[in-house]
Amino acid sequence: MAIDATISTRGTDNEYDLDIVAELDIPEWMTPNEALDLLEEALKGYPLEVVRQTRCITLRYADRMHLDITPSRRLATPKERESVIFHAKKGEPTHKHKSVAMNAWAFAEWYRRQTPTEERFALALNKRLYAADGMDFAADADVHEVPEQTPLIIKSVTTAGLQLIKRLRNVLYANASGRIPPSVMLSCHAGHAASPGMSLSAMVIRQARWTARAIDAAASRGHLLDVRNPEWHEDCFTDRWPENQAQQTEFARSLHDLANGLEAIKNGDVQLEDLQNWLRDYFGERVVTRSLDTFNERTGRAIRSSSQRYTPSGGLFVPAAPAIIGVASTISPVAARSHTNMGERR
Amino acid sequence: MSGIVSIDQQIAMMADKWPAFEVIRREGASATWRGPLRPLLQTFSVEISYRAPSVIGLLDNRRLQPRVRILSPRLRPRRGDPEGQLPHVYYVGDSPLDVVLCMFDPDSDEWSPLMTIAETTVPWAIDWITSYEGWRATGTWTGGGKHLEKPVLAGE
Repeated sequence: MAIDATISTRGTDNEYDLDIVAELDIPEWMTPNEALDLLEEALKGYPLEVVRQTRCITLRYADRMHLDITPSRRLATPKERESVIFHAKKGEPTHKHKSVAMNAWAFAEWYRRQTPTEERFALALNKRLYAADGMDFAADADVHEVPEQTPLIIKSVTTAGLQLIKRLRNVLYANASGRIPPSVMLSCHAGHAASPGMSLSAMVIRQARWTARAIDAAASRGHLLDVRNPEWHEDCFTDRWPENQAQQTEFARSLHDLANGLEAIKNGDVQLEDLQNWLRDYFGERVVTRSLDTFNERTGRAIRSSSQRYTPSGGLFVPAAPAIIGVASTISPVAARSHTNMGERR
Repeated sequence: MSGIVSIDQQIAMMADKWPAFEVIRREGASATWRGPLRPLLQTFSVEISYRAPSVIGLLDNRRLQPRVRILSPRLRPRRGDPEGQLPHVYYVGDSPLDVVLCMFDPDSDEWSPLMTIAETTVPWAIDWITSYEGWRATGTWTGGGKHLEKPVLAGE
């Protein structure tokens, strides 16, 4: 949540998982089980379903949102917010309970530094996100002038790409019951792969390849993927997934397939109708149908109002903001003009 | 441009604005171009045929208009669709795929021989193909337009 890459949960379009860390002022000698007990006890009586997990307490809201609260204890180390969280799986012997190094705050700061706001992209994307909810902000607003009620939700191509990779993961594992590739690991790779100015499709390909190749490299040595917090090596993002070679190679294969497919689409010929079937396999039926409907409405609206632009190769695009129109009009060979499609109906 | 745009002027304008289109036939005041358009992610091979009139006189735009065909990939009709099996086309032969695109209202002043194909027909074909792809993918034609229940492409 700290990096603004929250998406709806496994295979659904309207469930959201949010994570927060609750820093507790508790003594060093308190066991992992006791720390989780303490938080669970404090949340009892909360008018929601409260579920004890191995490392957190989950609150299930009626609107299908989940809030995972992970208790932590700050360490007396010089670096800000270095902490431990607690691992105590129900039914496991207590000698398997443990404290786990964690500095989510430092990681989030690192991610933000890696992914500076890309103003043109952020304005264009967020304008569309808000429009979907019936809210408008001025199309020519400077990125710093966006009003408080419409803050920029997604600020970089990297984060938008990360959301799509997480979406792919959720669809792939929609019917899986075990652990899945962790979001924080994908976020870490996204931060490493960040490259401001890339197109969204190029960024999705880059992130997919980044993780897939990291898995390939580990697998070739007979190892499991090992991804660490760049701000604290003790904080391991992959301590619970992958559990074995099969898990990681299956995910790597899916990521390579996604990247291969996107590259083929970019370089080759595919009709929208055929593309949507491919997209549904990766990103889910409902979201792809809705996205294509929205895309079709938007391009149609542009054509009807003559606000579309053309490329010299006969491409059509819809400028998202005046800043982009400025660029577009310099490459558009001709201006759009109004016309009425006619014809007979058979 | 003022006055009727000659076929030489049309050819020159096409070469300037859409250099990927080639003149494949030229005979008197008639010309046929072929070229690629890639509005979204599919390249369509398009043929445009046109005869520039010497005088407009009483000829109407139905007879004068450029004929635009999609050569490849083959258009995909959808039987029983409320927009028609292929929206916004004129049927010019026996085959349900023997169609030319209909992209303006011949009773309006949207198009006339005073205009260039490069600035009207080509961008309108891009609009049409975009709307067609959206229609095939979603079932909804969003590019606007009107339907005529009787064929009006004079001369056919």
